[in-house]
Amino acid sequence: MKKYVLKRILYMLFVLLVVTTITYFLMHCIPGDPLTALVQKLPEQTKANYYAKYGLDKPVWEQFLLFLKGIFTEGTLGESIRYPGRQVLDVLKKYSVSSGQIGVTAVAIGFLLGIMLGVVSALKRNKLPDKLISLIAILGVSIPVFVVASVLQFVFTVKIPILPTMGWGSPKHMVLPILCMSLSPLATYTRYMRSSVLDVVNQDYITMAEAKGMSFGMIVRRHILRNSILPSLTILGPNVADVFCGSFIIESIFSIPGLGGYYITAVTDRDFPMIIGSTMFYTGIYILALLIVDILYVVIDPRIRLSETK
Amino acid sequence: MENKNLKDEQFRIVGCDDVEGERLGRPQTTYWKDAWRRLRQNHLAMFAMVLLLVIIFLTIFGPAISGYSYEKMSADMNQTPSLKHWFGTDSLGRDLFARVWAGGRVSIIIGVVGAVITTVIGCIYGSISAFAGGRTDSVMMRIVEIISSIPYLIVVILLSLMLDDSGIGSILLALCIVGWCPTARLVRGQILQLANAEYVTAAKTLGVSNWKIITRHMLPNTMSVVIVNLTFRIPGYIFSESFLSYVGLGIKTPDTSWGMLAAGAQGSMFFYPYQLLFPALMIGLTMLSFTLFGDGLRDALDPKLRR
Amino acid sequence: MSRLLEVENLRVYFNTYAGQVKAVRGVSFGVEKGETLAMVGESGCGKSVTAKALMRLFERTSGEILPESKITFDGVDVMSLDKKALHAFRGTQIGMIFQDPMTSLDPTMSVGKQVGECLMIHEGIPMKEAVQRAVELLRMVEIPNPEERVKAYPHQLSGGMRQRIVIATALACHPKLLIADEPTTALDVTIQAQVLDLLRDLKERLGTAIILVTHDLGIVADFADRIQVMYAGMIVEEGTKQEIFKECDHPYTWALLRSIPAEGASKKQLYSLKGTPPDLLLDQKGCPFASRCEYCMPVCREYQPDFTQKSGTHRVACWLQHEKAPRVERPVGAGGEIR
Repeated sequence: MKKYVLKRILYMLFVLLVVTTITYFLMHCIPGDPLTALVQKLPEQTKANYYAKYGLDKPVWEQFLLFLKGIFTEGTLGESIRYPGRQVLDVLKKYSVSSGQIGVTAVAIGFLLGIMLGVVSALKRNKLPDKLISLIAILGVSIPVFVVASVLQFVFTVKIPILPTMGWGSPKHMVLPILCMSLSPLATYTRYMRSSVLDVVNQDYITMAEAKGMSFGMIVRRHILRNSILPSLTILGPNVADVFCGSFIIESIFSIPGLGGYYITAVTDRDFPMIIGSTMFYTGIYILALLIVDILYVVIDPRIRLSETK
Repeated sequence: MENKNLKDEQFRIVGCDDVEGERLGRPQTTYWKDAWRRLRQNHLAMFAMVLLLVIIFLTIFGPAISGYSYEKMSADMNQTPSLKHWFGTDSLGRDLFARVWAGGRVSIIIGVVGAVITTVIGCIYGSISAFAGGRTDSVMMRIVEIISSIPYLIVVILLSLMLDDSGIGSILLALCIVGWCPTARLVRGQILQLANAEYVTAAKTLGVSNWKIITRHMLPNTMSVVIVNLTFRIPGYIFSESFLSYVGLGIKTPDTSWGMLAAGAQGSMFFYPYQLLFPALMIGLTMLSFTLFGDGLRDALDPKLRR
Repeated sequence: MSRLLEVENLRVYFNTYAGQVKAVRGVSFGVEKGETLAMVGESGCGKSVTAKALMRLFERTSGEILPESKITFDGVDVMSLDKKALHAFRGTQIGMIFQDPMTSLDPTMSVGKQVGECLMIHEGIPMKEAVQRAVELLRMVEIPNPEERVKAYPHQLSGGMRQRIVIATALACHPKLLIADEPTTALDVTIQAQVLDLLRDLKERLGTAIILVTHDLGIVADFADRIQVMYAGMIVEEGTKQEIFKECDHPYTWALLRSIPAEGASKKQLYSLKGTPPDLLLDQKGCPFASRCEYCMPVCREYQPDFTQKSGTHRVACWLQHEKAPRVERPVGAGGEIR
């Protein structure tokens, strides 16, 4: 098990390096650079000085090597070009907190509630609770997050102003963004869980558990949940990433100082160090989520343990 | 049995007639016919299909019906929906009915074409990987693994910036470059599973030609999964496009799309909610219909659910 | 009164999209204490459904046991048990072995826990203790090295081993009746024999009554005390092993017996019954076997035959038994000769 995790972590770092490299070179293919807007009206000599300061006059691969050197020797991701003096790492640290709080809570709520609703929906198949839950789930997967956010904002600003719809600071500020962001994972998990529970319920081992004299509630807890949660786990990893990407919109709509909004700004500003830093951050989170899911998988399904350690 | 008045002639042995014994109680149908029959019985899916047809019809003919050009400005700014402007007008006095359907064109084209392209690429890649096997297979799958380790939207954002001309084509390209990976995995998995299926082994043993195995067994069984996957991907692409346009990285003016219309209306939402309502409603309805239709299709094509 | 199980007019219908599948259509039978009853018939004749109905295992499915059915087990009216009593009844009074050991064990739980679950629920002991007792149960079903095996997961065990686990689970709480639903169908021939030997041995040691559901008359011959033959959701003939193998009177039983490969008769072509069983969706008019019966008479297509009692234990539902019917010789190979 330890060996497996170690192997996965090494692999993860390798992937991160590959992704960073690809992003770095892709980024430099984008027309325009961070200084274009800044230096437009400056004389040639000053322009050249600026480019030299940020190393933008060197060939791309040399810049890349310098960037890697910075990471390994000084543990730095460089300095923002558009906002001189700001270390990329500090920006990431500062802004990822709010994004993380919303994102993690939203995924957690969506996952747990989705699992529960999915189970209920499957067990009450074709009855009223199932129909209601399925309706919520299908609306959840088909209404874009910005629509939900706008509607909620409209309702809570105009109709029932009990929750703040803008800004950041108190726990109250988190309610609406989390509500918006958890809707799509919630719906997705509900749908996955419903179909996998329906599948598991018809398995022979469930009938066998019934024949043992177990009450149905017990069968759900001991046999159905464990077996039907696996497909939902598979999408947990990508889902974490999706939620972070969703945060781009949510943060801008609710005016939350988070990484999502910062990322978009960095991209439109061509702020290279910021882009590469945030991309690494997002990729890291994503791969980490995938790793955690893989480990959970091994813990829950003994069949995988065997095939992986072989 | 004694009280029944039975006549002697009822007790002579006539034996069984084989024809009746061999006849099966229910009529036999082909797979696709049966699937279509089941789909038709699913009222929700049929409703979604009709709704989709209506939406597609309107995206084609809607702007013409309205009698306005989607990009022509006028002095009637921010009009609420009326007989003159069915969906009202925007802040530049453009007719929203025309704009919503013109935008829908872009959104739906991106959704459908994107899903079809990625599905085709995914199918080709996945089946090459599955049929090649061995080293080729594992290298090809590693590549997929790395590509899908990058958060999807980040790639799309970077690519859409790189391609910069912000037309439908470049957004499609950005979406497709990473989008084919899940389909490739799905197709490979399905083919490998089928290749080991007992009925395929049985067919091989009976000397059925490879070509026939592929057309008779592999294709129909993979097709159903792929088609269902395709239906579910369309709303995904519509959403991605609207997302990109919403954050300002997608379609640019003078072109428009549902995401852009929604983003444009966001700012004045409190004053002119209808400007947000219509594009948002259309995105929602389209995605909902595709999802419902996909659900119905999945149930109809899955022989395991056959009853 | 002394009968352990008494079933009267059992009807089980399934509501499906295509209509109501009448899987079991009025079946009556009984089982004595310690006796082995074999239920024989081809696939889809309702034998498994009958077996499951004895524990009312249709609560969550589309299956429905019609209210006129009566099941009495050891003086208890099974049909009137409430949920709690039913759960207490399952496992302690009747144990069940399923057809496919590959799918009847939970893949995510160690086998020790799965065997122990039964003890945990019915005797209220903690899981740890239950797993320890499971070791004994595994030893009872002759699993080598049971202390190690309790920790194993189903996928680590062979089919035969898994079926032994299933048997151990079914017997954990010493039920008075064990229902074995095709216990050997999914196993290799050699493993089949081992499992059957084990079942026979356990039956003698524990004195458990067994209902053996099977389509294989071959394994019934040296296992069952009594046999009942089912066809299209109905019992067509019932008798002791002797009576079924030597004096059977139903054309379907003949057909079944004639289709067993006999020793030393390799050159002779094996008898095969033509046609397929009737569609259970449709209402049955007349004898269910009529469409495939060599001896079919016009009356067979009109009315369902009642049982004719041939002896205290032997009864058969066939119009050939009617006084007006022509006498028919039992065909060669269908019992009556050396066995």
